Amino acid sequence: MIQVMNWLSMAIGLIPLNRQQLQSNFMLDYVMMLIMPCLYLASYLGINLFHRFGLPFLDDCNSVCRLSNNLFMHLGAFLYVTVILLSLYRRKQFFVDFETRLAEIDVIIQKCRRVAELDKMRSQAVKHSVAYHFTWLFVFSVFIFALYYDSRELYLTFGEYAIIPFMVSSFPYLAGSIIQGEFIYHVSVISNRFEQINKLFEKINQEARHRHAPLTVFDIESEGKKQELKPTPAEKAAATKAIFSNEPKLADELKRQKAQPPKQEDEDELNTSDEEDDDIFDYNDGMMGENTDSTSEANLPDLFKLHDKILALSVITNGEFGPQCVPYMAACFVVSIFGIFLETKVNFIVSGKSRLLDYVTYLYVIWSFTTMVVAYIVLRLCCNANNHSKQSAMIVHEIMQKKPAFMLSNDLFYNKMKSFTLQFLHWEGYFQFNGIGLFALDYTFIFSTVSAATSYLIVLLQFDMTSILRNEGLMT
Amino acid sequence: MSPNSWVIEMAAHKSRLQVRRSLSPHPHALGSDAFVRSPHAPVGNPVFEDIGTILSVLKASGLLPIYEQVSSFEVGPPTRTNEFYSFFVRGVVHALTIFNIYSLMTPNGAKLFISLRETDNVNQWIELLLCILTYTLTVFVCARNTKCIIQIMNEILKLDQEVLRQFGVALSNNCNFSIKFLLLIAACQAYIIFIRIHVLDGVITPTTYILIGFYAIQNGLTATYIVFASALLRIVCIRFQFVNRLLNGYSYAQLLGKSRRQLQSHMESFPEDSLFIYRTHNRLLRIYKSINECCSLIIVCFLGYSFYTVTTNWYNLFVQITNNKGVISSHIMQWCLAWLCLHTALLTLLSRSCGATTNEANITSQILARVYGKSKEFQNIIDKFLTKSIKQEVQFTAYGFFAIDNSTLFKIFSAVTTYLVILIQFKQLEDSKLEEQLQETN
Amino acid sequence: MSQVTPMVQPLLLQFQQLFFLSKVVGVLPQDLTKFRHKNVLEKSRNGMIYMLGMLALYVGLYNLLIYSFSEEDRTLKATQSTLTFVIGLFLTYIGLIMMATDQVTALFNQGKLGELYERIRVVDERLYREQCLVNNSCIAKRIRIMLVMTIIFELFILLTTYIELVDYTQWLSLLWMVSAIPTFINTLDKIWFAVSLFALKERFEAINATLEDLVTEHEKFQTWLTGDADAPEPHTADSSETQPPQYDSNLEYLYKELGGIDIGSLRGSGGKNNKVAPIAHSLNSFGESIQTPRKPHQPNPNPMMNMAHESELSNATKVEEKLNNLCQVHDEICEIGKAMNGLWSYPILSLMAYGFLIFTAQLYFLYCATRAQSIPSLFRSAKNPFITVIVLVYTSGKCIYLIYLSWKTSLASKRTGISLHKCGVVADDNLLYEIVNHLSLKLLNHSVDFSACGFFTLDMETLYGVSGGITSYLIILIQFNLAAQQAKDAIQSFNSFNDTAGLVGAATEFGNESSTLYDLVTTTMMTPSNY
Repeated sequence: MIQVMNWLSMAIGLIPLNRQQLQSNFMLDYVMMLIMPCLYLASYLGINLFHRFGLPFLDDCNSVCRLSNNLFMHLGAFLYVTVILLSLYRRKQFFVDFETRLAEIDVIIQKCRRVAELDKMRSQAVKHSVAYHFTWLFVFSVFIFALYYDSRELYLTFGEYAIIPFMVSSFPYLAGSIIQGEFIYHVSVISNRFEQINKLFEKINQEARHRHAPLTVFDIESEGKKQELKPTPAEKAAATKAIFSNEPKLADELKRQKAQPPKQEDEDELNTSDEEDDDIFDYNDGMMGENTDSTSEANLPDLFKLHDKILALSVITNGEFGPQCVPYMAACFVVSIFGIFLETKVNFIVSGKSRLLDYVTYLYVIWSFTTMVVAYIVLRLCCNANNHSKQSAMIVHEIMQKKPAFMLSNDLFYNKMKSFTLQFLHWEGYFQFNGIGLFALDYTFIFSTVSAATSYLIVLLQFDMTSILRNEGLMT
Repeated sequence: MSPNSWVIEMAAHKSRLQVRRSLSPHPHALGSDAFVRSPHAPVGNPVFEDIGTILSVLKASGLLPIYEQVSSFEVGPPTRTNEFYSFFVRGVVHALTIFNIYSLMTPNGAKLFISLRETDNVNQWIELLLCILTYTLTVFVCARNTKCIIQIMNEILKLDQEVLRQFGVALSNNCNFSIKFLLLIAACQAYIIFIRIHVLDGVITPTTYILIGFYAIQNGLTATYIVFASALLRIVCIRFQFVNRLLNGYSYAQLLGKSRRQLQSHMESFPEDSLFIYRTHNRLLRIYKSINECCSLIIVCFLGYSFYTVTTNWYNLFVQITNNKGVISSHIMQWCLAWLCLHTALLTLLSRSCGATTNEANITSQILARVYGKSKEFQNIIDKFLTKSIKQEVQFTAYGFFAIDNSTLFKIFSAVTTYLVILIQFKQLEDSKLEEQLQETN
Repeated sequence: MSQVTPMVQPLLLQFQQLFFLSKVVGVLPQDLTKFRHKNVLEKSRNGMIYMLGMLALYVGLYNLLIYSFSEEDRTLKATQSTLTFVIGLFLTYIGLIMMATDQVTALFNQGKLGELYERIRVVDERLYREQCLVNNSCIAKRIRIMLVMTIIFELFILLTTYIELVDYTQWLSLLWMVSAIPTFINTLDKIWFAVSLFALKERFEAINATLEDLVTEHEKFQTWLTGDADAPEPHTADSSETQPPQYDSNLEYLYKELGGIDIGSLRGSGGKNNKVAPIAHSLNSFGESIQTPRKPHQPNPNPMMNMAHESELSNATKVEEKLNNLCQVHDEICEIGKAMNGLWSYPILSLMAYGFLIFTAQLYFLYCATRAQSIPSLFRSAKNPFITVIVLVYTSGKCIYLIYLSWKTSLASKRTGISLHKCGVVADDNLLYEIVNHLSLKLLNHSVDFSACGFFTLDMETLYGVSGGITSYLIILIQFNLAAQQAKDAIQSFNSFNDTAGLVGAATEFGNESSTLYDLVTTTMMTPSNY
């Protein structure tokens, strides 16, 4: 699905071709990005300067129709031009940056999972739920319907020149929505990483619960409990039989040996991010030497660092896509308001009288619905990502409150966790998904827009349309 | 934690304070008027003498209990007779209110309205009712909060006592503004009464006099209560300021350019002082919260009333100015201006004192963050307080509806503008309708 | 600070042209010659008198302007709806009020302004001691760009309006030139604020960069360490669990001292003892504009360093010293920000009020002009849509740039805590964690929020609210106008007993009106997001 969207956005020149390679054919990539805008500008200027091929210049287009069509066109132009300019400004650097950072994060996550022994349980890629597929299907069908409706109507009106009015009516909104789709994809990736981290934190939390025991029996208890945690019942039985047996430990050792070589490769790949690997190694081995075995709390420093990195990644993503959100939300707002206005004041009264008028009204309604769906998904995902990152801090607090054995035995862990929670406080003040600071992208935004829309609608609905409609001969 | 330990420390503290004062680069910053006062206030002095006038007004009108002064740092509950007096006054007030509402219903009351057109009369009606409602509510809330007020006063006095014992400093209250405001209120109300009676024509019955007089008294007393609340807030604010100033002595900006020995001796007393500061700060916060609880209902009501009055008066003023007939009634202009002046001043006072106190309360942690503690011990002390104050924003809320600070003033005035614009729109519609009718009749 | 030799260039050095210009037009009263020679802002009685004279002159000229153009307005009151007239009346003096606020505030603050820049200089020195350099050179460039932009905008608006819309056959029409004075003076004053704010932001960013540098260098060091000593490490006992990090940071400093030389050009001079080489190096690479007055090289006898020498030279303490100092400098910058905000709070409030009112009024008058209604003569620029757009861009650009800068500055100040924690995480040392936690608690309590007199904070959310406010007020105003026109038309049609003609008129009118309406809506939506 993501692939389809990426191809689409490459095709209409919203993201550079070969976005992953920095040193690919520079000219080709960016010229590709310029084709569609040029086409669009040609149609837009053509319509506005030569007064042909536009709906407003048809004979049976009345004043209401002309007004709404002009609004739709200019709003689309505003949206598309800002979106394209920002996309050009973004360039490839962002994508390359994003991917490398993501790769770093994934490597660390993998390692942590290995340490926490989560990878055995769910080593496959995350299975998407039904809701995910349904959402995609829904969005795609909505878009296809919108495009189909628009192109069919235009084809009926203009014949083979339909492409020109189509470029100025539906295309800008499509382009804006696709960029939002890119944003959605990136945020969902981030949100997914947060979820994985939370799972790891949760694991530590559970272990802390199990091992909430006096210090004196720390070694034995933890050993036993830890083996209980292992998923296979056979091993569990073995553990209960022989708590002091060295067998599982040996197995762990072996596994660790096996795990080591790939990690070395990772280190070669990413020179910048492996110092923490080293740290963790020291630490783990120290633990092993002392017979406490490595458990998932050894992940903590890595997880903290991961959390920090993912947040930094979200800052970058938001910096790139946030500005594009602003015109999109504005366009969505205006289109929705006028859609409701036209639907209630015009279409209810005189539907079926004039085909063009009906077309424009429905266009408004369809696109307001489509853009609202996309905007809602954006808000929802941003909110989710925020909540996930908040949840990590919550879990860490929970761990701290339980005072697990590893924390009591070592001051370092306590300080680390405190440092993490404090850092999260700083992050909370510093960052939230937003559109260049104008509004926060979460559910409060819906509330504020709806209240604003209500007041504008009250004003708009006061306009007395009947005389105009009568004047156009639509009403008797 | 017992205050005795502080008593023993007293001498040392005093000497330290002397040293500090001489050392500090900005002596005026440390204590302009807080330290100038003589260390031992004479015992016979009444407490809160700065706001004595306003207190006596409120006591006489039964809004505040007529408390007994036990010592110079404690007030006791009122005696039986005084309590009975307050009770009696409140009863009279309620009786008068009922009488007023009754007489408003009779045609006699209708004469009160300087009528221009239909909407204005409605406005005046609503204004009157709001005023009555606000004052009645004030009386009720005050009657209920008698004990609470005395408790707040006692808390403040106890704090003063401790400060006096610790540092030999009697905190002044700096509440001279209360008398000015009292005068302003009295002048405005008297002026309004005068204009009203002047404008009325025909025979004026005693009932009308009572009506007008009581209306003015209601307004005046509500306003006086607001001034009293602001004065209380100012008193708390000064206490907060004292704490902050004390703490500021330890911040690193004060320590620049001192030798290490001096630094050490300077910081030595920090743990003790910090203990005192934390405790005082907490107590002040408690006082602040209880003041908020006591007054917030009245303040909400007053804000609503005041908002309404300001809007209608601006509207009237606008109508007068843009009157096409060229007849500007100077009485109405003066009247509107007096109301506007009074309410704007009160709103400003309230929001400013709330804002200042909130600001002082919140700034303590910021100043503490500036304390430079080299050793672990100091850092732990600082950390403890800072951790406590994370996300603990103190606010003076209007019954939990919204926070009152400087931005409230801004919000009120922007809301006034919006409503004004809408009202003017209505007026224009009315005008055009009127003209149409006129033309039709012609 | 008893130190005489300047270690860092004062910020004011970059303000030469701006100060000269503002002195001439009477924005600032401070002494010119002292500024030339010593780069300080000092009180000056002559300057004050000069400035008051200028203020009186401007007020006089402006009143003359209003008087001479008011004849055109006589007809306005008679013909037009009262609304346009009242708005015009209300806004006539707002530009003058804004200018007077700026100048009077500058008069009152003339002593404090100098102190402010002195404090910034002290901060620069302290930052320099922590080897964190701030590049001032782009500030001069910024000032120049802003000045040029201002002059272009002002001249363009003035000349186009004069040529297009003013009847220049009359001699008195030359007075129209006066109409540009208030905005120009206001802009000059705001350039001071904006540039100083930008300088503060740069200082915050320098602190953040220093902290991040610490992190990256530590990372580099660790990779180097692991490349070397991978084998012996894994078999350390549990007791030395916390030992390796300390060992790391031990070496880290060595490494930094070494690295300081070759990366020296980036980070300025290295440590305390081996000065000469890195200084020369950095001098060359920076060019003369940034750090010229730095003489090679006094050992700077400041108390902080002394203390560091006296205390143990173990590295946790050294880092602690450094972090502590950075934290204090951060606080000092926050304080400066607050003080600056305090100095300019009334001018900013008046600017914001001006921006809001003028933006709304200009759009409303534009609407009136398209409906062929007459508008107040002072707002004649609204008769031409293109000039209106330029005026709106200029006014909103001023406001939005200030808001944007304050927002960015407070974000940069918040960023410091995050960078600090990164230091702690990367070193992974118990002692350092404690230090970091302590300092981070302190940083949480440093706040730099810019507000206009406490009425509203200057951040982007306010902008969002304001743009909504402008739109709704505009719609309300236009509705008024529409209602008034319709009422008038209705009366006329009633008088002429010609219903059908009136309805046709109203109907065609509506089509045009709503098209302008949506134009206005889109412009208000567009402008905030573009600038």
